[in-house]
Amino acid sequence: MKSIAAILLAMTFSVFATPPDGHAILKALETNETLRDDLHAEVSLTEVRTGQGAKIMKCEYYRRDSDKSFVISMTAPESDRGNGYIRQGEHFWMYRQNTRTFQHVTRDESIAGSDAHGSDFESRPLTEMYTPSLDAQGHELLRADTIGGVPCWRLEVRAVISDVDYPKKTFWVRQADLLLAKDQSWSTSGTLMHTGYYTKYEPIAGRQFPMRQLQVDEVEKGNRTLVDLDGVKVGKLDADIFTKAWLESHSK
Amino acid sequence: MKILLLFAFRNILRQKRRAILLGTAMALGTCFLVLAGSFVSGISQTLFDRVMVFVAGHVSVIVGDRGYQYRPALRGEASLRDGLAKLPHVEHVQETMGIICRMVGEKKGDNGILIGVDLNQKLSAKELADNRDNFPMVAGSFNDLSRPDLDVPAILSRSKAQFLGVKPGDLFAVRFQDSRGRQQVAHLDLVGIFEPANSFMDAPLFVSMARLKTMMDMDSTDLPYLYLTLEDAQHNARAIADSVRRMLAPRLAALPVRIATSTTFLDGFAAGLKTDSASRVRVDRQLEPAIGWKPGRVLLPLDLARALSVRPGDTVEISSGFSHAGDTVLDRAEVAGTWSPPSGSAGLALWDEDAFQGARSFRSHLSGDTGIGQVQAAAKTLDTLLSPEWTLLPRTPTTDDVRDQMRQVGERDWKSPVVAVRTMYETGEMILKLAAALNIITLVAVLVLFLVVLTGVVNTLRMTVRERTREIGTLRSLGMQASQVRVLFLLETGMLALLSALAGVVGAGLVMYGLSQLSFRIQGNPLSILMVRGHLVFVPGILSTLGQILMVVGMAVLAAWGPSAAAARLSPADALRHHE
Repeated sequence: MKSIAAILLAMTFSVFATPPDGHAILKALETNETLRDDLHAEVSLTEVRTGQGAKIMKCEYYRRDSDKSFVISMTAPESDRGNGYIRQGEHFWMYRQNTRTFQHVTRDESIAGSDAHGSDFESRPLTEMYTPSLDAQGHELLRADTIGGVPCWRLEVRAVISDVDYPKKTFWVRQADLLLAKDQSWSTSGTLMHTGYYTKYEPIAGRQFPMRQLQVDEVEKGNRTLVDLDGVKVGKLDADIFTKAWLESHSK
Repeated sequence: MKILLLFAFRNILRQKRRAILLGTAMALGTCFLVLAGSFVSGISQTLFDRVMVFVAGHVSVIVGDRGYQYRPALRGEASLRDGLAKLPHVEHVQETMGIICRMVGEKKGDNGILIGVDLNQKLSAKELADNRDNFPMVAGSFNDLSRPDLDVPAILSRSKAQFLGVKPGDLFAVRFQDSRGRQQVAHLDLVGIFEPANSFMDAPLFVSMARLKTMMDMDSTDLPYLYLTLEDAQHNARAIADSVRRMLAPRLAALPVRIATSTTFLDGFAAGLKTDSASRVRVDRQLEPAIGWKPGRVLLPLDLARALSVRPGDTVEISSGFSHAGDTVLDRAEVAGTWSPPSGSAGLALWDEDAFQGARSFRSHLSGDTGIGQVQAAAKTLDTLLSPEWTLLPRTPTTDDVRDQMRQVGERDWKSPVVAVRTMYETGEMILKLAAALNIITLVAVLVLFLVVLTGVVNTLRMTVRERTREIGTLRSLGMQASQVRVLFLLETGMLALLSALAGVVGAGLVMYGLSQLSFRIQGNPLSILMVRGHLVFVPGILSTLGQILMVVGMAVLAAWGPSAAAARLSPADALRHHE
């Protein structure tokens, strides 16, 4: 579920043909995260937990960046069907279909029992959070690499502010189009925490969307989440969708 | 009166079988009443003394950082602790933190609560005994948490250690969010295992407070939660909490800053200016910023804006110090306009409260004047628009209020740190309510029982009066007054009730002793929270037991009033003529 926040904030597209430069790569990734239009997608998450088997969660996702709004309406599993989340500006609510109530989601609160928290849905521009790491000679830690045979640029970045999930990250972006192919996140102590693989992009409305990604928990070995997007539509959405009333009626 | 007492006692002995039957019923009722009351008190005491006190302290100071309830850090305010420790009735003040974490062992992972133990804290003999009682060690000891040869020594419960597949000497990982919201992993050395007194105590993962602060990116100047231990907490807690809250009244916040454009910079001060909708309207009306007031903006003093050659709509960089990693704490803000600071507040920029408090949360600020004086001078015109050091939340008298406030603390609306003061009796008010409800249920059940018993008392007395009618006549003929006859019967019933109640109390004591010796193996069962290491706990109170005895005797005497009055009304002549 944490990957919902990641994927929905990282709907990538665009083609960049600039020479490899750490700041340019970060800017490209940041631009990729920005949506000018509203978006609707069906999201499927297959969570595998060690010793617990797989759990499939599905939801419909509506996003409007102009006022930082989004709506998540759960469609599976059956026990969660009809539940949902809505964010309007700085307010974030959880809707429970069985009690027909909205409850404020705190910034530290887990979303749908997952490791995603309310604050994960508060995005900041990537270039405000990270800057390319430098080696002893003052050069950016940027070099060529391959992921699954695809030529990529490997860029190490560090956080310039403290309020970020991970103080250090490594991005692999495809050389051909600067689309994200893989990322790794590290803790302050230098422990690899998480790896994401972005394996499938599709052009939609002139942009490239990551239709499939795999998020691997590197601390608790064996835990991973496969995220699939389907039915992605970009364009103006009905303003009524981003209301509590709509979420409530939609869940019936 | 002495004669009446002797008569009454003799009458009880005259009808042994009847007295024994009636007395047994009353003794059983009393026994049940004392037993149930003591059990409810035991549950209440166990929950407060063995659970609530660990969760909430006698009095607690709760801090949260701008909507993050699990970021327990009031930066640079550790000196508050010393002030609180000087309050009357405060035995000691303890720093504490409980961080939700994920433990990852050899076999699998499990959720837990990372708790810091202040190893320098001087505890009383009772507290040490309580700790030993709550966390009896199976291996190692709490002193091992200070071992200098290990990075982060840790202590776990036996069941968690078994679940994770770790034993003393093993390493295991723990994942958590630090005080700035970063995902962190630490590798802990298991140095001890305890057998928890109840299932609630199963979740803690103990490390030393000093090491936990480092893991959480906090230092000795940062203030986490505070738990105050009080003398006679039940009586003093609320008054002390009120005093603590008064002591924690916040001042206005200030920050020395450097404001820069791409070509030049100037040093000045910043105050946080609120950005909620009501404040925005007020700022727009009062300060008339050129492009309106909203988050992400700054109002510069007129002379500073001129010196920097910035105009409304331009972006400036505001730096305020250095992060732990040594990076400059830098933010960008759009210039909303200029303002003319009043006398004494020259160089004061008014900055979006959220960004301002974010910058303030870094411990290393620019050197020089703090800017407090400038902000206080500006308060004459801006008062409630300015951001305080922290927001002091109202007291919460009930568990529901505490729960609501916990949610409020986690809302995004907070732009400044928040501080709340609670007592464990307020946090655990629901336990008191539950105990009161259980007591009422017990009382009602016992009253029903006594209704049956007292019907027997009335019936027995009526039979007794009938049987002793001639005797009453004789006594009256010998000079006994009608009122003395009534008192005689009342004394007889009262004495029987008193002796029965005392027997009931003794019986209850024996039953309590017997039950408390039984050991229930309910490890993992939620009900174990009501027990101490598998044993039921009874807490009989002297006053409550006396009250229960008085109630039994009073009810019996009240029930005997009618038959006694009937006996007193008999005329001596009629009584002497009475034949069965």
